[in-house]
Amino acid sequence: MADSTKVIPHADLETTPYWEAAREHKLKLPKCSQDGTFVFPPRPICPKCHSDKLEWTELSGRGAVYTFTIMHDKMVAGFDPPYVVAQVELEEQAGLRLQSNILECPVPDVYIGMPVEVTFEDRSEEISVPQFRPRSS
Amino acid sequence: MDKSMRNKTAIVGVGYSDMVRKTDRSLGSFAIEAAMQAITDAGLKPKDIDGYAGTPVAFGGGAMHLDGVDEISDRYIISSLGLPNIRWALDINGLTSISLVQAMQALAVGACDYALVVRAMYNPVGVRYNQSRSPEAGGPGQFTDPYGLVPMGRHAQWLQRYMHDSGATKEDLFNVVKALRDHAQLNPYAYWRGKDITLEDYLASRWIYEPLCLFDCDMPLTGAGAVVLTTAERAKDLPNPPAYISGFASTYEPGEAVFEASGIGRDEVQAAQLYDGYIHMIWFWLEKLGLCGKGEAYKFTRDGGISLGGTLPVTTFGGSQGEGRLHGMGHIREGAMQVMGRAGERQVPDLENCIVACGFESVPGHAFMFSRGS
Ligand SMILES: [Zn+2]
Repeated sequence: MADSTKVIPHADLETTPYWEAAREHKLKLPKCSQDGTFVFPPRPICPKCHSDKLEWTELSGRGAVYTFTIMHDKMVAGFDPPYVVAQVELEEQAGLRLQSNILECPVPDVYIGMPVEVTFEDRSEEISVPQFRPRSS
Repeated sequence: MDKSMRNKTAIVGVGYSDMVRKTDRSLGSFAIEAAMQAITDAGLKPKDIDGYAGTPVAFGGGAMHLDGVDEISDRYIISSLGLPNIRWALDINGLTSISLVQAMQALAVGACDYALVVRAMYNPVGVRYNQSRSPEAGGPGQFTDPYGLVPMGRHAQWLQRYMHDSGATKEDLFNVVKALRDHAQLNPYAYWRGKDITLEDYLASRWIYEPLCLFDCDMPLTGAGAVVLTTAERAKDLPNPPAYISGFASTYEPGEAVFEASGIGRDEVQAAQLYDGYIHMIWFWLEKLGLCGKGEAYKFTRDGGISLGGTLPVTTFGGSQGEGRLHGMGHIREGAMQVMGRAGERQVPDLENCIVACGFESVPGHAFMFSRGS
């Protein structure tokens, strides 16, 4: 069920492939073809070696909760408190972290180190956002 | 490291206004009060002021961005005070500390001789500070806002991880709240003067961004502050003992740079004015500046290290938490007052150097060393 009251992302020239992939329920980021660095947020060059040979590459979607907050105030349209906003560190790269809600999980059960996997939340016909949920292994 | 700015400039005057929750006075009247006080305190007249730096931007979902209403621009101050001799003025978006950097650099290159720095903040009544209104988020917000994250949520995420890694607890965090509240009792301008806080009050307060509760967050207020800077040579002819800026660093990692720039070691610093928009930023800065080891700051604050009379008194005026939110102006002003020896009941004895640090992780930090002249 699409929830149109939540904020939707506004893609730009650097991020359009990210949101196009999300629409197909794939998690992709630019990856440096010289040294394999994933670049997030998406940028035109690799911050490590400055190569501009980046390729949009699908990730495993597996990661772990690095940290999180529980939002208790009604501040944002479409979100009923309490809800979790977590930084998920992806298993491909240390420090590669995406913000996410933790779906299919009661708020008090979220913990640092919790293994999670990507899933996608459809906000409209055109827009899906990557989200994470607990995984068993 | 750039040492060329060492002791080239000094703060020579400070100005305060009341800090209030609600008011029928215009924001401009607060700004003018603080600005005029700073000019007079410096022993100057408005016609002497030839430089101006400000950070007018209003924050929060209720911001109207109207000059004179919730923002005070360079134009507003220059026209209101009738400053006839301005030859350099700059408004920029950021914490107040960026204005201080701008003013120092303008003085150093001779763009002006006496610079006024003003910060005024307005608390709109009936609007939730952090409420978000826009249905679409672009730029960096496209990766955060669709998840219902407001910028302050990141601070809570930082704290969650810090507590996880170090073992710090909410009781430990209360010690910081309490130390700053105690300092506020000695500051005549502090909003929280006359109001104590107990551990019970603290633990019973509601969550905002768990693990941050109500009393971990500074409160939106209306008020203003101002300082006047000049060159070291000119400072000698003015009535106040100058608070020399012996070094500064303006970067995401100012921790080492400020000591190198000033040539002053950590053991030569007698007080620190550390930014505390959220209370755990005190831990962040203590460790970032190397004043405590990594994961050790909570023990230092638990053991009374940051209180007046402690090993290193921190944020001696009560900070954003105790005095009121001015996005760093209060910290700069107190750093200057301590170095001038004018901090009254909260004066740190025999103080030679005070470090001032503003910002946080995702915001470029500014660290300054303020020093008494030899
Ligand atoms: Zn590379």
